[in-house]
Amino acid sequence: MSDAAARPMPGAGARLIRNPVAVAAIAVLALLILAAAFGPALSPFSYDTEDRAAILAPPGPRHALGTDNHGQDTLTRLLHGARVSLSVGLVVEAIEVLIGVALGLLAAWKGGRLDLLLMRVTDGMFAFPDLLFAILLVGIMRPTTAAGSFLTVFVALALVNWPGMARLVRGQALAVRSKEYVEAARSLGIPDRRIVMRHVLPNIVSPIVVAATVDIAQVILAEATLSFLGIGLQPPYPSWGRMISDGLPYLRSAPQLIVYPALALGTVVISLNFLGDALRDALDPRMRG
Amino acid sequence: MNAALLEVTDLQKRFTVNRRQGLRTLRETVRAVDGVDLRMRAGETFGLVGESGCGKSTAGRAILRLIEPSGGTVRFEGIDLLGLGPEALRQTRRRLGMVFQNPMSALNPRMSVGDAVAEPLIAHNLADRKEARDRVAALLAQVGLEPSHMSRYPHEFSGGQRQRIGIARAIATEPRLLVLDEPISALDVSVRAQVLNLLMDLQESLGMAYLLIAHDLSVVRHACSRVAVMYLGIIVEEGPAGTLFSGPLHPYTRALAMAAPSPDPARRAVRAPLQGDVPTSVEIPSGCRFRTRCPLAVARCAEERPPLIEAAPGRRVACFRAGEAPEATAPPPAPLA
Repeated sequence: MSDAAARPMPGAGARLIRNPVAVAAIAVLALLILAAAFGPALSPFSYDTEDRAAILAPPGPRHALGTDNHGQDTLTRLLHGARVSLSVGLVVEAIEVLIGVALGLLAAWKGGRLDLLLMRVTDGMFAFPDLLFAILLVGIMRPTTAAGSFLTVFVALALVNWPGMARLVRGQALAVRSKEYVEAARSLGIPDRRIVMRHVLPNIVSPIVVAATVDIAQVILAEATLSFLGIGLQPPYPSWGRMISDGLPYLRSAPQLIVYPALALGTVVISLNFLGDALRDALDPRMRG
Repeated sequence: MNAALLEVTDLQKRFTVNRRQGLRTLRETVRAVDGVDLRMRAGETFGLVGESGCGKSTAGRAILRLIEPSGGTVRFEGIDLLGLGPEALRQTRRRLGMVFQNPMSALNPRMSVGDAVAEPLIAHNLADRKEARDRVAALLAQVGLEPSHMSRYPHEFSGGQRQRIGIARAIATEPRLLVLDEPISALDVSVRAQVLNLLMDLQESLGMAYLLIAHDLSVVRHACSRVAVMYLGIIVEEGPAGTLFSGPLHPYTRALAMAAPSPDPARRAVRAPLQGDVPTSVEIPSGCRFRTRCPLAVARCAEERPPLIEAAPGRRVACFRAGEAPEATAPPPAPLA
């Protein structure tokens, strides 16, 4: 017998491929992932190589996108920054989905006090500005090493972002819970765990996938913001947000220092948003419009 | 009478609903099932009929504890179902089952037919994955489907086929009692008889008892040995299917029997349609709850609730004027058998 996931959404893949916006978004993101994976190895420079002969150099043959005030190659740093943005986006989103799906399903299925408690916690989190909360968490954890700062950013962003996912999952799961096929499963004596995993979860995958895709963009932006404020990843490892803040003093003399990372950030965020929209259309054609 | 397979006593299900009236919210109690008694023997088909909203589906679900009853007792094979804990109830459900009205919504769209039919077997440890495959093939054949349908998904089937899939799931664990909730009323007319006959054949080979919930009297008359008629949450009449409809004792049963399409033109002419609407189960009339629409109602009907009492061997009726014909509206019913 085939796995339930074998053909969960017939035709969704085909519909996605037929959508030119989706194809473009996927192509851009794939290119970026490849660049982040292999680009740094192909570059003659390291992210912290300081070329004293080329401080604040404009784009040229030696430094394709120029250098910053330390003579560090902008293209190389952008590629390293892509690693940061993409890995933060994916890892944080993965944690968020894990927490959000687990708690959302639990709240929807158990109901009662647990549900009430969880929803009041998420209300509280929504009422508090996300970024302030992330800053607070970073401040509490006070990372000292580069690896520590990575971990801190992951944890802070995941803790800030899970309530949205938990709410979405709870709402969707509540709707599915009242479906007759769930009642049918109960009438057959299927254990609750299995009902939740095999009957509820597969029927709410689409909205989760769509929300997660768009959320990744938000997480990447949030990381850039933290780094811009100087409380994200610690130097010298580059992040797009830090590159933008480092370039700020040279806004007039060397605007490319800000333009390139900002462009990179914008491209990723827009691609993810377009992909999210296209996924929604492909997974649920009725929602189109 | 041999030992009862299912014994339901004073089953009740009340819902609390909030109704807005201006700024105030009124809490009202809906008495969907208001004291139902049933006795079923092993292997028999018992019909539960009534208009939509009379509580027959709620009663069926409350018996299986798909919704929790508010009161009463349900004994199945001597076990008090309402006293069971969650795990014991789950295990007992191996010997119980339900077939749903709408086969479109009763199957998980993301689960293959093979997985759906194997699921109860695996949940009750009746087969491992390998054995389940063979059992599923046999079950599909038993309900008139191809074993090759296993890898397909519900949307690839017609309504009748989906109902067959639902039936295959329900009988997978060889239950002793199936609640059939309007099993054919959502199907195309052309396949209704096939599915009904399938259910009858399966009953013969497996010896299950059926609690058939329906509003279509011709189905009930055709399939059931005994029938109970529900009105606003209670049973108003109960008896053998044949005599109940040919010689109804309760005025409501008579109205139902007359409203049913009949192949006999002589009967068609004497329909006595009921006046008015069914009262809501929030505001149940005092005394006999049918009195507001009853052609025979007298003063006593508003004051006392008529008990469900034995009127003839094997027949129970809840009416002070049981068996009387309404004046000048219809010829007297056929004499009792």
